Amino acid sequence: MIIVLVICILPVLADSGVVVGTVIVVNATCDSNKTSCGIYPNCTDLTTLDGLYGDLYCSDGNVVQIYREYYCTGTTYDYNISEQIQQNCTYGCVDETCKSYTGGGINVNDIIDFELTPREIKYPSNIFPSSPEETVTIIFPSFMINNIGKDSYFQITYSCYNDDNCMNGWCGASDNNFQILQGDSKAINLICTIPENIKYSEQYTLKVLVTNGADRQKSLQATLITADEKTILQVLASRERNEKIKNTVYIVGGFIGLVILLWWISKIP
Amino acid sequence: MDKTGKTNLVVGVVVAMLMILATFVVLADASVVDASVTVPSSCGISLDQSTAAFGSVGTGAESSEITRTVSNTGSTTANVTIEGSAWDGSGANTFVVGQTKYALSTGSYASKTALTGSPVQHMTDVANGGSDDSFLQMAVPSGQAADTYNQNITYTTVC
Repeated sequence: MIIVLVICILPVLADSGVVVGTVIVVNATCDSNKTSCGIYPNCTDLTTLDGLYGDLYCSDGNVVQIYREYYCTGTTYDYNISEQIQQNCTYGCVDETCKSYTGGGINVNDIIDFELTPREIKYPSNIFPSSPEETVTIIFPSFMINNIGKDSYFQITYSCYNDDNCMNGWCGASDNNFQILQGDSKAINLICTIPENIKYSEQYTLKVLVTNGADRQKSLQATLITADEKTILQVLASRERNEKIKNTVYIVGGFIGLVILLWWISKIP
Repeated sequence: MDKTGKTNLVVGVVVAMLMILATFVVLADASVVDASVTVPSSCGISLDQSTAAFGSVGTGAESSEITRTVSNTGSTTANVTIEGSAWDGSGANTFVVGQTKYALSTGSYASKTALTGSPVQHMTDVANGGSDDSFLQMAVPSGQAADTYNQNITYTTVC
């Protein structure tokens, strides 16, 4: 008897195993503080944003620049601004730089602040011209120019004007070019030559031009008013009397001359 | 029985036994067949853990790295492939399988290889009875809806 034993083994060609992955997705925020602010992964260190922004400019007579200080508002951030002085100026600020006292020829701000006192002044009545033909030079009491602005200026001119016209014979100024620093005051000694045939009722203008060698200027006006009415009438009356006296003299003199001429003719043989 | 008779009896028994034994020998010698069996190779795989919990991850953020040990329980050296499914959350919340990456050594997320939906060779020549580590890491896309998401990562040995 023959026994044959057969053993069959099926081959396993592949095998698998599964890993189940799990994740809980959350809307992540950063630390909500100065150094880590925003939504993950865009966490911003706000200390790197603090600093100076924008251009230099003039403020309150000094050179300043905007400073931003950032703060976190949870998932976003914002900033507070302040002016940080970059340069303290002694003589004021113009065009983003401190002005120096150089004696002239520098630019001025667009804003020119001056004050002219007094704003009106009366003719001294006792120096009115005594006749229409006379001219008179009037020296007025000093005007004061007070620099209440934030800049220093280095050229001041002033003249007498009538209806914005600097008339021949009207214009005249002494000490026509001087310097006035910020916060300083200067006296103007004005001399106006009043021509003949003036109109006593007119008002005349002291015009002060503030310039600094460039095209910046500002005019201030002080009104030169005439004397009071009583004085005007007295002067007119006086003028009239003078006219009459003069005319009388002319007439009497002419009559006397005529009499003398007739007497001389009568003596001719 | 006398002595001679006893002796004859013993001899006769011995001869009979020898004759019987000879018969078996002849029979055995006449019935021997050589038999042999060849057993083919078999594959087998096992994982140290069946889950990979990446925990809470913020939108746009990367998870920590997770390590899973893959063992070859087959009878021969084998290669191991890896594939995965898309990440599924509730409703229509989903994101792509490739947000999960794998590697054979620890490293950054950027240095790993993105998982795909088709099997890709991951481990080579893992000895029978041996094992190798698979380093997994995932990242949540920016703007992804907050939810709990699941993904199947399948390791396969091929013999």
